[in-house]
Amino acid sequence: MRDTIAAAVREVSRVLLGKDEQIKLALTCLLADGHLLIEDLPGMGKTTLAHALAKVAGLQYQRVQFTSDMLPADIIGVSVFDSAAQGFTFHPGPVFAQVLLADEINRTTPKTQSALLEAMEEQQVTVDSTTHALPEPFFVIATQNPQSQMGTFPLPESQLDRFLMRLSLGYPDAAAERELFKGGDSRRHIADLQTLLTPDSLRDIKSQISAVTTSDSLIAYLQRLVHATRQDNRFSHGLSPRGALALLHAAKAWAYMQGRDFVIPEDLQQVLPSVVTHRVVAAGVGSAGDTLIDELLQSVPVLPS
Amino acid sequence: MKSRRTIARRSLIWLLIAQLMVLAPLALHIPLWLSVTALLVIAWRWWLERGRGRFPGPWWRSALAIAVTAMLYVSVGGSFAMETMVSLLVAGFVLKLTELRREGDVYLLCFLAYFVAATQLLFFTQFLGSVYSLLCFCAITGTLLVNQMAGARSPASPSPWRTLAGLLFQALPIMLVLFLALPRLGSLWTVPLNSTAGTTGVSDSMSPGDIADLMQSDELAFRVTFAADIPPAHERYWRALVLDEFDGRRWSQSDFHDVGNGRASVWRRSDQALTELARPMSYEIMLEPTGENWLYALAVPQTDASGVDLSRGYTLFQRKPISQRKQYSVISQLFYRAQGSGLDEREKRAALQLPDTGNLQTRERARQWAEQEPGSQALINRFLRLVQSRFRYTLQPPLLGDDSVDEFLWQTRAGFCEHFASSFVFFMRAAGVPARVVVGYQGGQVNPHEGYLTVRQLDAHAWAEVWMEGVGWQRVDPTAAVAPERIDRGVEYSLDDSDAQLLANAMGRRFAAWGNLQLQWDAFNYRWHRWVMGYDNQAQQDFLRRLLGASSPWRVTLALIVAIGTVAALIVGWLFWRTREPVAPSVKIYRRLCRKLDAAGVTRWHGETPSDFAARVGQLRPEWAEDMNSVTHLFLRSYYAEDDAAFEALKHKARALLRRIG
Repeated sequence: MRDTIAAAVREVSRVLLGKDEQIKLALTCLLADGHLLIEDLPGMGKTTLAHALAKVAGLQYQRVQFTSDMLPADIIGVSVFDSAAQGFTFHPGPVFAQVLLADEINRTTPKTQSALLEAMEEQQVTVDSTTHALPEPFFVIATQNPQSQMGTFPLPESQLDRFLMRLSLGYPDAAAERELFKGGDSRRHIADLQTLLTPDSLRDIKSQISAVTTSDSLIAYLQRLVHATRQDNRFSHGLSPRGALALLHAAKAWAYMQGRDFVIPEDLQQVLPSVVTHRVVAAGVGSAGDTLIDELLQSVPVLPS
Repeated sequence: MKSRRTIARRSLIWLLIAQLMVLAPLALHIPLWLSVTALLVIAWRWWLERGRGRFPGPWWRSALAIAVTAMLYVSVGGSFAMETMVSLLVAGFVLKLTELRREGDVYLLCFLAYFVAATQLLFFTQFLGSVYSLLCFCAITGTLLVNQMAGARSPASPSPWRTLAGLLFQALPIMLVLFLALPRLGSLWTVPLNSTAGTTGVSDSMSPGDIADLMQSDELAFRVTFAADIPPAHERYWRALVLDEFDGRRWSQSDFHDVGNGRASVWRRSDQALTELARPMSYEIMLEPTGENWLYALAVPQTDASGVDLSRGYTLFQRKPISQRKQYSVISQLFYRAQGSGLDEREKRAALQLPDTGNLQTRERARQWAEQEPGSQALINRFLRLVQSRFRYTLQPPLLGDDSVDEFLWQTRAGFCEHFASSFVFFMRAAGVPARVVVGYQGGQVNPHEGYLTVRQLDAHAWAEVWMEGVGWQRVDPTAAVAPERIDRGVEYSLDDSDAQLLANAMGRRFAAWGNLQLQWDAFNYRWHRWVMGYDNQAQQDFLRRLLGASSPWRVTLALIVAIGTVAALIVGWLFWRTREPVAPSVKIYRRLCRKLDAAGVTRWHGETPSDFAARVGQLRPEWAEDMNSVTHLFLRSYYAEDDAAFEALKHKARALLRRIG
């Protein structure tokens, strides 16, 4: 099963060149039942990543481009009176997908944003007091453009917390970019990608991830880290217990992907920047936030002192 | 802020018990009616607590307070002494109960209780007294604690005992440091203690029977520690007063020797130079409070204790009465010879004074003997021979009439030291030889456990001194002639059975085991007084000088800071050590490896994960890379997956790698 995952990473990296780390993290996020927020400039391959992941994982894919005039119903769906049936019929919106790419989520109004975020949290939507379960798995990849903030509604901290991870892809390195230029439009290749996983195998993997053991020694390290975020007032707020749980869960998924059935400090360190940064560093801090997280990792002793 | 909550039943019980404990010993020193009142008020408060009756209104309370104060004034008759102040304090302390309704009042009463408990220490300076006061402090602190817990309304109030023990244990080092190093402030004013008024002891005059009364008391007079060997009993004459005025019945001090009025002539080296005939004796006396102003010492004493003077009678005295236990060191010249001119006129007149009338037979006989004998020494010898052959030593002498000396010397011929001393001096004076009576104590019991000497009231003694030309004042003890064992072994060995019954503590003297126990207890109390109660400014200075080299303020401050800092560091260290997580054996091995690598130049950072570190080691030292990787792998497995097999392998591999690193 682990080979499958390694193969999946390889498969996705065929279309998203030189981004193995981010692909692994995105996959971790999927396996850990979380949602992913990608903050990056347009044209860095966000859509490619989402689409390729869906394809490789054998999941149904939807994309929504958020705009400022969008209403919740545009995402969730709407009940329409059906004269033939003499009743209301629910027309599901784009949210009823296994992988949903919510592009430029900060472009739309908070009302619409929260409709999506609620769906993410509850794994279901309620329209006209009827509850509709969302497909399983349900994985949202939202993107926002950090640069042009004009006329946008940046997600507040409380909403950011709904995303397990926040990533940015960044420019590809020279070799990867050269490959990209030679290969032509990557989107075409997505169709060629092999589907390696199925929803069933994903469920299997998830149950194995929850069986990954975390020793007391590791929990102690996690607590030291969490404690440090709460002590250091350079962080806008300390990591919440939910955030800490998310970190631990992501580390488990990461450990599983590394082929281990127990979590070690590396796993925590690997996933920590993408899991923790958006929860403890105020928005707009930029790269100083990454430095802060680096310092955190360096200053907290891995082994008990 | 004063708490408005009512008092919990539990804290009230604690408070009342603490109050009873604090008041119990003071009952010996406050008027009886006040003790009874205190008991009644405490009972009343308990009765109120049980919901019967109502709290008295402000009028009633004021009336009660005024009544008690008035009664106090009447009962002490306006005299101002420590007992009065304590009584007043006790009255306030107890009456406060009648308005004790709120939780906050308990605090007030507890703080007052500390103060009242501290007054116990004024009256009870024995070791057991201090232990009892400490118990009282525990009870009061317990009350505070229980009240605090009741206020916190904790769901399950834990037992206060543990917390109490913890608090007191923490206070202990602070108490020690403060006791040893805090400067002793002298009192700004002193209130005399009444209790010393009733103390038995040598008084400033001597009439027949005085000393026999003293002998019925087993009470401690003073204790002596000699720097070197203890001199034999027949040289231990502890002089207090020189009595040189006789009115036919009573011996008292003439103006010349009266140390009580503060006019006594102070002896100066120039007055009568003394030639030392032997090495002087050095010793330290711890005198129980007497309420009098003379001190005890062997002749001829010298002391540098402040405020203490040496009189012309070779006795020590001070201006203020001795109201507290006093510790002083003395150097005494036991064997001496006066140099120079001899007795000055005034002193000679005093030493020859006799009442105008009475005791004619003795006067006559003295004149005859003086003519027959060649010198004063021969006269003394003849008198002593007479005493030796014909007289009996007893504590129950026949009553004497007006001419007491005549009757004693020529008829009854039975008596004890004061009779012998008194008649001897009278006889000598009548024969024209200057003589005087000296009172004090003689002998004392050596405590075998501590090696010090205990002098008790029953060691009280009177003897005589005669002026010999060219020698000076020479001690003559006629009692030694009639009952030498009195001088050498103590009074209990010189008496027959019926006399011995009169002595105090006859039982302790009969049963050796009981007596030994008493000696041990006394030895313990002595140490307590000497090292704890006697730790005054001077002792503190000495102690600090020995400890710090000098007792300058900055040194003391520094030492205090260091001492308190050390204690604090120990406590913090202990707490840290206690809360610290146990280190897993695999971590210990890994740490040893890291130390070794550190020495080899590769340092693991704090936040560096073992895998990252292994990678770095591999880069810097490729030759260790393989081993390091496997060790790291095993460490991670054994520590984070709790894999015992991995731990065994880790031990092996790590040892091998350690050896390779060298």
